[in-house]
Amino acid sequence: MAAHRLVRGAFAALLVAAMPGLLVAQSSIFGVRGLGHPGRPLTPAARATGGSFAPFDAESDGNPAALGQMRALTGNFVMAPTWRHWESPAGDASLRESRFPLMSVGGPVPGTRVGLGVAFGSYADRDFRLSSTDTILVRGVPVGVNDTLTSLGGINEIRFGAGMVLGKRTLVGAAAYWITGSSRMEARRSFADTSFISVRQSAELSYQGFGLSLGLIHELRNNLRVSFYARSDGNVDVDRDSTGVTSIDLPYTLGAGVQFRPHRRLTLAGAGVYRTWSGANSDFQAQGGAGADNTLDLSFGGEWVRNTRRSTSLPLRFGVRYAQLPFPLDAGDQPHEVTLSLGTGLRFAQERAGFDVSLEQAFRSAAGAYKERAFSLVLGLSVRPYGSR
Amino acid sequence: MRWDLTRRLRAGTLLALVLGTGACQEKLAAPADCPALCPGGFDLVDTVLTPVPSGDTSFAGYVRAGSGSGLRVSYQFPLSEDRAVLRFTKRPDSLEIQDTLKPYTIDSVAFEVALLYRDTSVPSARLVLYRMPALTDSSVTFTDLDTAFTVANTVDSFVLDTVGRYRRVLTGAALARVAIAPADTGILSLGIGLRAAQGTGVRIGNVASSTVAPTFITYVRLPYQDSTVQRTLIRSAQFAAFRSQATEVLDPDLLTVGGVPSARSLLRFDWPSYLRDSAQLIRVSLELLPATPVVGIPGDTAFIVARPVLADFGAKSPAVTSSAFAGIDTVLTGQTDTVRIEVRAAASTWQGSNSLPPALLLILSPEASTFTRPTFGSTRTPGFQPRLRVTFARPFPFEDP
Repeated sequence: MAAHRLVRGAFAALLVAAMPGLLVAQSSIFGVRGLGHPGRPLTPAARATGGSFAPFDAESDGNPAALGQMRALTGNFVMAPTWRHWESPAGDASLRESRFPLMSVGGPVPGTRVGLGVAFGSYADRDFRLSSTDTILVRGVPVGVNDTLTSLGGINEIRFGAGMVLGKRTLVGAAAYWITGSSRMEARRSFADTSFISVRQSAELSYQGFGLSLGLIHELRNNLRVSFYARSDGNVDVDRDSTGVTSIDLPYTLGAGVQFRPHRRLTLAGAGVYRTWSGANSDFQAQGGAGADNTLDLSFGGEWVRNTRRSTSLPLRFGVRYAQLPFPLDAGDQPHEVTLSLGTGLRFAQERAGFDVSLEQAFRSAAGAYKERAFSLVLGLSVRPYGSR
Repeated sequence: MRWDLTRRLRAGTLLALVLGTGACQEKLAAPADCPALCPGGFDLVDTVLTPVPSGDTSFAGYVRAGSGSGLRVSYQFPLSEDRAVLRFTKRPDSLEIQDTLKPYTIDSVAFEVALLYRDTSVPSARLVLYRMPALTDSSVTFTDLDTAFTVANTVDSFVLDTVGRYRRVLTGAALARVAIAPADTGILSLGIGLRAAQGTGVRIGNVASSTVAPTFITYVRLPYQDSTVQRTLIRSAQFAAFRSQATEVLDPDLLTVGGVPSARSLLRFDWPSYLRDSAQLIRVSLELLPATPVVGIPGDTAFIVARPVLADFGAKSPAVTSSAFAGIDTVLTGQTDTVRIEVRAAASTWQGSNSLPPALLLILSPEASTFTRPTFGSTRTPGFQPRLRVTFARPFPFEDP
């Protein structure tokens, strides 16, 4: 009984503590343009498989049909400290940050075959601080300047989803997304000639949009499942300090995955996601940006279970992912990333609590001279106050 | 096995917490290749404004001679012929010792005068002190002073060398020159003139500045019991002024600052809405072109202060007193180069919804205390119009991707 109270208390504390701190996923040099670096609102378990398990993961913000397989009220909180090394023509830098890409709560509706879930996740990240030096002509005289452009924040999504079991082998689901967030931006310029006062300007860009998604998971055989989902995000309205400035088309998303269990200890999966970001290309270019490109995200991974009676006890997860990034630094030079991942997890306290961890090494680059290596430690805490049913 | 698992779990949790806590120390700053990489970009604009036509005017009569921090004294100076006058506070004829007034005996008298500036290229410059009628007041004229500056009235004279405080002591028979008759009720007045090998002028300290104020000191002895006690009576100037031979006249087509009584100039600008509302001012310079070489004692320095005004009432426009909003620049005698005064802080008061009127009041410092009297071109002087050079940043396009 005391353990019950403890776990319930931890569940409530996790919800309260995480709400105000919810930020966005890991940053990147390739998140400087456009809306930022696309978020990955996935659990560490799904990320450890490169994201290939995400279309089947009820606790990830992916296919809403997966919510139909929830068997217990579950809360998840994910944090992701990241260490990055950035290489650009202007110089190299070693950076670090800590982000919270996902928080979710979901569970079954008692007496039904329906699962409901709410997830707070990252949609795009715009955390960066760029420093540059230059010499410009002011009043006809060359003057050295130091510029700093800072952005903190990004776009989040709040998903309200439902999944339902149809028959014995099929899950269907739907979700509505409230896309919201803000970036606090600041630009500074200081002059080598101190008779010019430093420039400091700031603004808050806020974003509002809505999206819908539909999903399906079907079990072809006992050891083979497929997953499909589609999503439309409409457009996002951008306000600058409460004044509307523009509207940007958000992509349609088509995702598919296949999960195969060739051995009772081994599960393999592959997934692909296609997003039509080029719909925003004209919006960005109209504002002087470098545009946007469609993206393809391919992942493959697996899970090796050490103990088939307790599959959640320190399984070995692995994965690899290739993803195109939507916002080029230079027009026509679409960046991409390759990620290698490894992870595990553990449930304890009679499956009422658990943690998952994923170690990720990402290599990002574009055809130009921009490169980035990022190492992320993705940590997830999960709580099931009533245990699994 | 359970124990091992618990240990591993604890170790893993501890490691995760340590790593997570370490990563909470954010480091986001990175070098960038801008503007290629950076979204948006600064847009700096340089523009030049001229005052409203005929909205720039000079007014005279602000600070009178003797009300400033210095006194002008000159000798055959083409720029201005000036004599100074001081009236010291009343010196009592007795002192109180243990509730008893006792007469005293004067041992010696000292005068202290501070030299603020002189032209060191002029040799043999001497300051001469003259006895003046005790009740000399503001009605005294240049002619009154010049007439009183005779050998018979001479109290003392001394050669001027470096800038600083000069002290002259009179003792013995010389005390008769500064003896105060009972009818003068303890009041002493002095005139100050200058003699030199050639025409020149000097500036001496006035009562407005405590550190350089002229002082009249009397050292006295009083009998007390079987001995004597010594006392020092220090008197400062109750009235100080100088009188000029010629009256200065303002040229209505020029902007004049300084002189006696002092002149100030008001410049009004048509401040555009894009500067009033959204621009960030980076540098605002007021450029004044001297209409003639700046007059004054060779080598002397003065300052021009530009202040915003709280309201535009013409000659009676009240200036913002805070020095934080004042722009200042030096003017040198003989200067013909453009005078540039940085007035960004002043111009910032012209921005926003509760802005001050876009006008600047030019004031010379020190006022009514120097021979420096610059005149600048106005909007009525072709080729010499004042300019306000404004460098500003437009709002940063943060919304640009």
